[in-house]
Amino acid sequence: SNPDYSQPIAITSDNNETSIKENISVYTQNVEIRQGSLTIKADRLEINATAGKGNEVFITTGNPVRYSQLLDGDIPVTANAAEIRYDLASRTLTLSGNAQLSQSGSQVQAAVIRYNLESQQISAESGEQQKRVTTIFTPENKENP
Amino acid sequence: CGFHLRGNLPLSQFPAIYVQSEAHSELAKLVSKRLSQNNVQLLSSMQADAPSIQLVSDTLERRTLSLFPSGQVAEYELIYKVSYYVIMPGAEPAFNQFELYRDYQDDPNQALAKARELDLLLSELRQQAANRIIRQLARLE
Amino acid sequence: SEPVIQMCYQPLTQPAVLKSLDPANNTVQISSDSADLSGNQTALFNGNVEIIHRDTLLTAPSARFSRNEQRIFADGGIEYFDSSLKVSAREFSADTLNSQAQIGGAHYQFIAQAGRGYADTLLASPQRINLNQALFTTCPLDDNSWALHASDININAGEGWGSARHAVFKIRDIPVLYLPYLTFPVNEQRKTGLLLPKVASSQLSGLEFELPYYINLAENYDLTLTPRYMSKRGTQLKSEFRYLTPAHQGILQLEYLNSDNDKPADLGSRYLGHLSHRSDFTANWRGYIDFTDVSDDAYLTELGSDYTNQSDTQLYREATLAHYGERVNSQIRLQGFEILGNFTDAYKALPEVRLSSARPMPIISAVELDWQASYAHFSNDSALISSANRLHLEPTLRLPFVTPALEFSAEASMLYTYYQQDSNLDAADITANVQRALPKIRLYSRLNLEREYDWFGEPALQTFEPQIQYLYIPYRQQNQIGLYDTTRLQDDYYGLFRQNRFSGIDRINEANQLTVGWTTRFYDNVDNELFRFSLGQIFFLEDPTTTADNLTDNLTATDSMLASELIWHWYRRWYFSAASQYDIEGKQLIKSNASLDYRGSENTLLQLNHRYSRAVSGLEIQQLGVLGAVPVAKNWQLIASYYRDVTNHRMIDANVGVQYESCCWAVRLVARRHIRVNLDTSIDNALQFGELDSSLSLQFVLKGFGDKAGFGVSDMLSNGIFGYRRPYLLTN
Repeated sequence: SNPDYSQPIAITSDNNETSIKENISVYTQNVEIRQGSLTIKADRLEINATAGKGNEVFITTGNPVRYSQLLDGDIPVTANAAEIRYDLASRTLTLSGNAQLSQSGSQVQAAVIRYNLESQQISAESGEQQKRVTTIFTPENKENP
Repeated sequence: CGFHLRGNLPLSQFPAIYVQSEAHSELAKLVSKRLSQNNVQLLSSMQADAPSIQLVSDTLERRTLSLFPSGQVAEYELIYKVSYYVIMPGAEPAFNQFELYRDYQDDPNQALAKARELDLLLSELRQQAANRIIRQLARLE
Repeated sequence: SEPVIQMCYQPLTQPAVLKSLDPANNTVQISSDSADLSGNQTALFNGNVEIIHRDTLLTAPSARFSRNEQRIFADGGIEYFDSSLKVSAREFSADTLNSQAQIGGAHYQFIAQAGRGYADTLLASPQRINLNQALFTTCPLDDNSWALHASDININAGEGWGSARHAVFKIRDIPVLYLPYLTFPVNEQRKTGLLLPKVASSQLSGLEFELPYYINLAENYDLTLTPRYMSKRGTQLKSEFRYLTPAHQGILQLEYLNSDNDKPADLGSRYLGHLSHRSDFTANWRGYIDFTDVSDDAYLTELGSDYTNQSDTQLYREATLAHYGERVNSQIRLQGFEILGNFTDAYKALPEVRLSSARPMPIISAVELDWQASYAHFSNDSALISSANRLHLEPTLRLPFVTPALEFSAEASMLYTYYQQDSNLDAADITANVQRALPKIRLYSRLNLEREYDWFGEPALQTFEPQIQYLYIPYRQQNQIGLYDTTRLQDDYYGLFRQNRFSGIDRINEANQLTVGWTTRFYDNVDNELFRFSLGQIFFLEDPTTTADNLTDNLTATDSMLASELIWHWYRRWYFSAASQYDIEGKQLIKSNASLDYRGSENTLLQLNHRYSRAVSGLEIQQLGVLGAVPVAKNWQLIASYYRDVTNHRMIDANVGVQYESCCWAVRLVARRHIRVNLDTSIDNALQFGELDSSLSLQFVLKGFGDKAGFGVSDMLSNGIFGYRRPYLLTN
């Protein structure tokens, strides 16, 4: 099946205001974004489409924002953070504000985490307030005592 | 002059005790006999609300005390060393160790008789050690 | 008391997180300034990286972790900690699957004990550390007093031993000794036997060098082989095989010297064999063996051994099978002796069977029955009665009444003994069959009185324990019974209340006597026994029948004994103890000993001791001893001990030793002159003085391997005859 990022995006929320002039639309309360197996749940979504069709930037904030997706159809990836920016063009998620991301037995916590959906490349930094990056690898269950 | 009969064992507020030791330990048998004579019930296993005594080791060693002019050993000192734990309910195990001494003359001309004397002294040392353990228990609050 | 040089080792700085690590947690936790992960490929971490896996911690500027290979890589200035080790090195890699770390260019240091060094590569896994192209020393960081360089060092903390291959031992970087293979203790797990190389010299053996090799054969078997070179005698091989399984445990020791150059050639090889073994076949069947044999009588005095005292005069041999039943304890025992020197041969008990009641059997109300029965076959070719069978039965009825305050017991027993005696001399005038039956009545009572007294303002306890015993045993004529395991017992305070004055039942002394005695004890506020005084006396209600029995001739007709004992712990540092035994009838002192001890601060002690015995095997013994240890300067310690035979006005054992102890090594020089046992004399002409033997021993020891390797003050003082402790095999 073709990858999630090429799927259509569906957004639902309790209410929505769109200002065509500034190309900004805002959704609030129980916002849900779906794209194939990717789902993001947040309190507020602001879509900035100024860069034109296909280059929109989805900025979601929440307490926290929750993200989940199935990689290659079966490997679950979940994450949450105070703010998640989804840049359609570079197919990259940027999580900031005690961000946390878990994927097949490894878990990363940091101030800022960048996650490229296409290359599955994760990079984490400690950001300004020097919050350290913590990564925990749990071996496959065959060795668990 | 202020002497009064010894009251019963303070352990009397713990009517039962568990005595743990290596199999067939003679000292453990004597301590248990002494305890049951003082109407303390002997438990068969460690219990949370009752004290227990763990006899760790009892060893007998011999040290030379004096020599004959020929250099032969005239007198030996028998050193009987006992170490044990007293575990009061809800408290850390308290380690105790003491040594008892007896001197004893060896005589190569009567080796078997002297070996019998050694067995007798060992059983007397064990009686003394059992009494001492009971005395130390008696002073535990 | 901590030795003065304890400040050798600065406390090791350890990250606090180490204490909270859980060895069972097999996750890999990495904290860093930044992290880059891509799916299953290698993850990169940068910025003072800290990696925790089980109970190990790694810090590095950067690190890589490959998930599918489960391997960590790090380089630059890394530091690695596990439960026993701290390592700083250039590069590091670890396989987290089977928790093994490989470190290059490693400077390592033990956490719990002295020991540090360097290794080109260090492999660390739980319980085992392997270093190659390595250096090991226990000296502090900037001290190169000694170091062990080896192509390969293995340390197994679990076993308590380490081994090194192609080891070069250097003192201040000067190579001193090359050994293809060397073993050494790493912690205090091994307690017995020689642990470290020893250099000594003595008149007996000349220059001596011993080096132990530890071989761990299996999980519960180990073997220590110790070649011992003696310039005057040759090279002896000592071996000690130890085994400990749930059912069987024991030690087998074999020592072998092919030919002794200091002895006539026809003496042949000299050996010692010692076995002490115990088996618990089932919950109530137990067997044990204690056996020692030497090639010649002078072996022990000339070559010595870890298992017997140089002045032992006989080798004890026993094999026993015991059954501990619900109601009956039974035991079959074979007992014999190898006598060293020309003393009369001893009777052997081959076998002796003993049955006794395991628990008193209640009869009616509070009366209980105890019984014991024994059969023994004694043999002794050089005795008049060369073999004898003895059957003994002794039932006892007892009425015990015990409370903490008052103890009372009334006993009545019947003693029946039957002897069959014969001699290999046909004209021997001995009685073939003898029977002896006699009753015994004993009444015993003891009172426990206490009172509080004030010990420097603190409540403390004084006890007063009077005891009284009445004993009745009728007279029986017994001198036609041989003496197999019977000799006169020594009457000290404890003996006053015995029911038989002899060690065995071949003689049962007549008695119609009252024994009165009392003990008073003072305890301090923390229940240490400060002072104990006991006094006791036997009163004969009627004079014992005079007997012409060879054994009892030295028992005077109205021999009533007064014995007293005094133990007094005088002040915090001074200890005084004395015991004496006085015979009122004969108005003479039978035996006394006294010792005055001063224990100062660390490593300072002084003792003055005196012993007197009126007759030990007919000889008067009076002995004076002075011993002391005092630190003379930083790291220097002086020890001295001197024992004098006052009766014969001569010195019997004198040691003077000086010891220099630095952080990681110690050297001790001890000059010793002591009397050497002269086995050619029998005890009756013991007056023939043994010769004095002098020796000078230089003991050089590497410290920090487990305990102080025998360098504590008390170990030093136990150099002489009187310090040695011989352990007994206690089996129940």
